[in-house]
Amino acid sequence: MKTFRIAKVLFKSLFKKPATLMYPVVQREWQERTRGSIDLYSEACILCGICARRCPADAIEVDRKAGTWTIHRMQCIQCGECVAACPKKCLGMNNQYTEPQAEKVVDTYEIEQKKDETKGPANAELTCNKEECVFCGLCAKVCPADALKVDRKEKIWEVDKEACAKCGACVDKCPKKCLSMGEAKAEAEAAPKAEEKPAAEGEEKLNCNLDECIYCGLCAKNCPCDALTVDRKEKVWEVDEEACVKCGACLEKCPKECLAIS
Amino acid sequence: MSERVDVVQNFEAVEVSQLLTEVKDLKAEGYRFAQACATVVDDKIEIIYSFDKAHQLKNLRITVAQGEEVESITGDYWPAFIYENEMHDLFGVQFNHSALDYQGNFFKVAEPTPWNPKK
Amino acid sequence: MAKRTVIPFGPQHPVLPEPVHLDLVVEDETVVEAIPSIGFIHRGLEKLVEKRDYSQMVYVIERICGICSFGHGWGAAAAVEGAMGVKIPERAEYLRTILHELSRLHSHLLWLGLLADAFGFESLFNHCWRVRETVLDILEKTTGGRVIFSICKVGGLNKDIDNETLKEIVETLEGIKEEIKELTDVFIEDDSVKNRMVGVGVLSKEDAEELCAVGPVARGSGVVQDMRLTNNHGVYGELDFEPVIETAGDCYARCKVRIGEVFQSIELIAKAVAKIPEGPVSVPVKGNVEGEYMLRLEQPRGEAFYYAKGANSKFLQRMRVRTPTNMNIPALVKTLQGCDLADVPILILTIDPCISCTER
Repeated sequence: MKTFRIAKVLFKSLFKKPATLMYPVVQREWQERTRGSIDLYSEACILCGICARRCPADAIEVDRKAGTWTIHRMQCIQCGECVAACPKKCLGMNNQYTEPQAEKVVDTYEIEQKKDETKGPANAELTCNKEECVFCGLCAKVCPADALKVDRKEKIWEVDKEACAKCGACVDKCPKKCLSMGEAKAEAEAAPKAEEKPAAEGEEKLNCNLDECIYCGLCAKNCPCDALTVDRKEKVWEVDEEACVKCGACLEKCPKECLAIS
Repeated sequence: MSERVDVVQNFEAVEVSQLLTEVKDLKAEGYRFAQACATVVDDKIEIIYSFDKAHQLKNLRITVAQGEEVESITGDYWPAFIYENEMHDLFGVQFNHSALDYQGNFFKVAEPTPWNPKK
Repeated sequence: MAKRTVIPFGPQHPVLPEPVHLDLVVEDETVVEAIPSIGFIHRGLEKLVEKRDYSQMVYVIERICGICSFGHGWGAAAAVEGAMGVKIPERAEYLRTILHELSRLHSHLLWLGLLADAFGFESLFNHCWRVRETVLDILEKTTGGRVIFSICKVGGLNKDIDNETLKEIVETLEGIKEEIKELTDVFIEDDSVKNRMVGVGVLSKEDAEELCAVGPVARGSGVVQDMRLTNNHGVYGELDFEPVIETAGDCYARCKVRIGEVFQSIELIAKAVAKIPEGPVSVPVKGNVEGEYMLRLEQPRGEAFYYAKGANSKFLQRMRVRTPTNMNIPALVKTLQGCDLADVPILILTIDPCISCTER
């Protein structure tokens, strides 16, 4: 016969502090990673609207014309998708929950739209100077809105104007600096000099100074065309001449500066 | 020591008329019914029946046109009634000779067959 | 000839705060037939695939259930990864396994509490949930959420958990092991508890196979069935995983299976932490989903299905989730036949029903 087996537990808890908190007199301490609510650092926001499009709960509204960024606090599910998607890193997650209330909380932030000279006017369009472009496709890879289409073989660079949020992520990333917001010259767009390119490119070659190289593999990771093979153990650094577009994305990333296009 | 299993993706297309024979064969081989689900593919409805034996999965796929009727497998696998009623209520697939037919009252939906493209 | 009465049981009822309705046909005090009906809160989450792309869908699927949420997120992400042919880093696979076992731990502790509540043992219920709180604190510290973690994404995990924290987790779990042991001893040894469970609601091995039961219900009846024995998710193969099996098939056996799994989960987490490799926790995933993939996970409640089918678009054509409770309802209906009316709540509870899961 074994009855009242819980006596031990009960007896012990007589001498322990309560496991519960005297809420709300004593506030609970939140962890650093607690997903409480979304913060907007409005100085950096460019109203691109990617957060609104990524939100699974449709809790964010972005109005470019009125210059407002709105979040429906009670609709937000704190998944963090917008924080991860923001190209300007102007969203953050803090660990304080929205206070429970009888009315739904809607927070609207006014965003001052900057007339940035480098980015052109607010109604600018993303253009590519096709004389410079090597069709590496890096822009399409970083585009958070999937608005760009690049085909190397056909020498096509296209932007889906509906989808483009003009966030400028591609402009920052372009190794040839051929992308701009509303600055492209008319003639450059009209005549892509595709025929001249291969001849000029033919002499160029990506080289690595193997004495300096530490085979870290950063170049291969950042190659938009997957043209590089790096093996640390075997000490191999190889470039696929066919695939390489000589964009120079690897040069920027190389910590030893042992890469060169010549 | 229990055996570990690498589950392979195994989909087998079956004619609607052959379904019951195939299911009977699987039952005789000792398979366990695992699930059934419907997918809308170009106006037609694709139904996948999954069977499990020793952690290995076998999926039978049938394609049903709008209005086509399917023979119920509840005669062999009684627990399938949940899935058949679900597909009936959401997709409007008609199952014949069901062992437990809720006649459209399994899910309390606002409108009949909400997931059917034809409505 | 005794008179037959029909007693409607639920959707608001004494066992669960969840809407399942049963029509119990009783003769005197004995149930002769039970007719289940669900569908009171069908949400149609699967239909949302048409409006949410696959990476958003992981967050949606995760919200099917507040208890097995990590498993749902993992299943949805892994099914999409399978369809796209993405291989996630090994560290992510380990971390997913650890987080899944933590979820199982808190789910089973929650269930033990509910079981105690169902037979009116209030203090045991409260103590089970007190211990569970420690696990929830660990989850909040590592993922940022107590029940909804939002850490799983297609391609791996959103956040890494560093090795220091992992070691702390193992130490904390070792610390509460003794407390859990004291509580589970009450379930296993106390006469008043045994009186309510031993020999009640027996489901024989043949019946469990015939009725296609899954999870702890099947394992309590001696069926060797655990999706952790399959190799297409997690790292259970490297942790010497062996399923917990009981043969009696009654409520007591199902309770013992879950108690066994509580301690097994703590062990699995310790083993995984000892073996975890260094490395990244995610790989970038871009592009459309083409093809289909069927994946099964062992949720705390049993085998769960995740089926992803894409037609070369960001939006999936179908995301099917079949939850374990779906498969255990036939077994429940069968065990209810011939039981006492007073045992109905305990019987319903021992299949660990999650109606929110069932009504995706």
